[in-house]
Amino acid sequence: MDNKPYILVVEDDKHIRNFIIAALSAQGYKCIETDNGIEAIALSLSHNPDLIILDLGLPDIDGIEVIAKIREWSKIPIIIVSARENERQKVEALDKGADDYLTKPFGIGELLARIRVALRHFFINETQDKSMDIFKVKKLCIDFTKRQVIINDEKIHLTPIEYKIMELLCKYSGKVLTHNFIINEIWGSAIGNETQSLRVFMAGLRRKIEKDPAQPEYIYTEVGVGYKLVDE
Amino acid sequence: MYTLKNIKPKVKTSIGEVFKVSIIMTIATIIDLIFYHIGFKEDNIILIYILGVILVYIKTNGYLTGTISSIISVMLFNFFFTEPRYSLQVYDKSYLVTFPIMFIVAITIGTLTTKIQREASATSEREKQTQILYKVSKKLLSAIGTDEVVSIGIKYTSRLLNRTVVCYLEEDSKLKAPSIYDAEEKDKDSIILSKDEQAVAYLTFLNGKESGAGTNTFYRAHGYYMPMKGQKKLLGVIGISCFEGFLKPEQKFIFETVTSQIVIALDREILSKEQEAYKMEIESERLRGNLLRSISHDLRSPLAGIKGAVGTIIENGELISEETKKILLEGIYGDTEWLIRLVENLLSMTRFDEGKMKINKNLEAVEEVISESIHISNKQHKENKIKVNMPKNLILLPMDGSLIEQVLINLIDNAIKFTPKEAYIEVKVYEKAKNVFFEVIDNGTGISDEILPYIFDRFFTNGSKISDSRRGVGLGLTICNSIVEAHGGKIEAFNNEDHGATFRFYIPKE
Repeated sequence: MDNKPYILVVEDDKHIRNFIIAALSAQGYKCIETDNGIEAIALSLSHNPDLIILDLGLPDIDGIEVIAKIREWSKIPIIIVSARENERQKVEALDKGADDYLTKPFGIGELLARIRVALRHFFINETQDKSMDIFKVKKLCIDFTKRQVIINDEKIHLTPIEYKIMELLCKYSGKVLTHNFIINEIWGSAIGNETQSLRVFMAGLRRKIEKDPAQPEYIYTEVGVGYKLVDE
Repeated sequence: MYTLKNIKPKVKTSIGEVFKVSIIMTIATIIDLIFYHIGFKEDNIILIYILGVILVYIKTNGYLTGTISSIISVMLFNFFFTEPRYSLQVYDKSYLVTFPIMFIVAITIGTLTTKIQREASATSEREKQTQILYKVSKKLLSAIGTDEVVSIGIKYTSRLLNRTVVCYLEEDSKLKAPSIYDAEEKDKDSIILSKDEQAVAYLTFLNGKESGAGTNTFYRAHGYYMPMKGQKKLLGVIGISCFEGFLKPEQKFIFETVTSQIVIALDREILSKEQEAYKMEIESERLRGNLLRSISHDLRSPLAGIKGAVGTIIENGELISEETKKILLEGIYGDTEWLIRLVENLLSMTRFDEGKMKINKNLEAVEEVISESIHISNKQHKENKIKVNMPKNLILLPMDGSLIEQVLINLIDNAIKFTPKEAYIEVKVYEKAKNVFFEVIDNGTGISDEILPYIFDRFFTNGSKISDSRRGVGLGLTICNSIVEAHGGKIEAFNNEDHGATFRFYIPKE
């Protein structure tokens, strides 16, 4: 691609900002940076980056607010960075429109992987036909036209709800989907006991797809946040 | 209101007493007549009458009846036994001396008798009270906690004085809800606990002076209230029901005595509580000191490693081989991972509030928690392969997912740390009765018997073997203990029969 993706890095700690920019630049991304939320919103408006890396612990305004503001007029992928304890904060950010998250301290490999995933999904959603025919990762293959799921070259049978969940995970492959999000998409709205049902369905899926459900290769759980299907 | 009630019994007793006097005098007269016919001298006759009078003094209420019967006995003696008989006249003038003397003797002995009698009963009454006071002191000595002191105090006060007693303790410069001991006056309780009465009690507290029934303040109140003055401050207010009448001086004295006992005991309890609090603060400071020392000690090594490696690269950039550089950098990376783990554990320690750890329980799938724990562990220790042994069915368990993850990560980390690289490590889960059990099993060298009992204690590090190289803090296992206990479970460690060690904990399913 000639047009290198433009990434806005919003992070108030200088050292962290430096290493992120160093790593991204090395990978060929163009970067702009800021250390506060207000400027972040302004820069998004003026420069229209392809992706935003947003630290939730900003000095001036709450990172969640930044997400809300940007989401008012743009679907730019936003990856948030937050401290480990704060599951609630991560879930809130994801539900408010963030695409993915990183937990501090994080490694550069994770960061790059998530950037790739976010950009790819955005690209697919914006430019291509939203429906895809086939999804393949490692030994898992899903054919949406034939509604077939094949793992390790064997066809497996999924119940209607399990299939719906798989479809959803595939659509957002590589991204963490919150419990609430999945429940809303599959059942319409979250009332009471759906979280338990969701766990049960996910466990069922894992048993059908994974070699060792306790050490999954495809469907990852982020405890307290949600689920993710790997995409590479 | 009071007078009507008191008159009625007086009338009753009067009739009873007149009756008693009549009987006694009649009997005395009959005995004397017998004596007369037998031919005894008059001295005996007089003495019998005097005996009768004494009996009247003993058996009846007092001086009035006694005096009357003295007069009656003289008159009877005169009537029946002096010439001329059956008349109040006397021939012998010496009787005019006998009669007054007889009267005086009767009254004197009678009065003395009554006095002795009354003093005897007063003494026995006092002795009973002293016994109860002694019992109260003894019980108060062994009371634990201000509430127990109060309840014992008012119980005995009430029993001593036969009235309902109520006590308000002080808290934050206000009075707490009262404790009451009811002397079976039934609905007088509701009066003494009424808003008006509580106001009087509060006033007593504010002024630090007595008020209520019989005092200058709220004379007509139902109860009499006294402030309880402790060594340093006002401890509360104690009140006693005066429905049956104001407190007599001796009763007030008893009330004050027992109250002072209660106050002493309360002061003692308060001091003891303060002492406990200080002890805990000191202990807390001591632990904090230990923690800081431990952390500082443990931070030095990785920091030294990082500084050294980075410094080497900066100084000798071009002179060292890429291979060496890579090794140094990987070492730095490992050190930071270790530091991160330490920080996680330290942060967990801040989740304590008043000695209890705050956890957010959610229904989680056990397999999900385990898989994430292993995943995180694997990021740091890529060479070790961990086997998972779980039942086929899905186990849902209410728990704080990230905390239990931390326990598992700590345990797995420990297993990896203390075993050779190719060691076998297994994570096992099973259900048993009302609990879900988690085990981390390794086949390394096991835990030495001397260390085993202390392994979950704070800041315990496997001292000698590890020293500075592969550190402790000893925080990891302590955190595991706290987290597991906060979930209502228990953790234990033991050596396996053949090789290695097992760490096992359970979480209740409830």
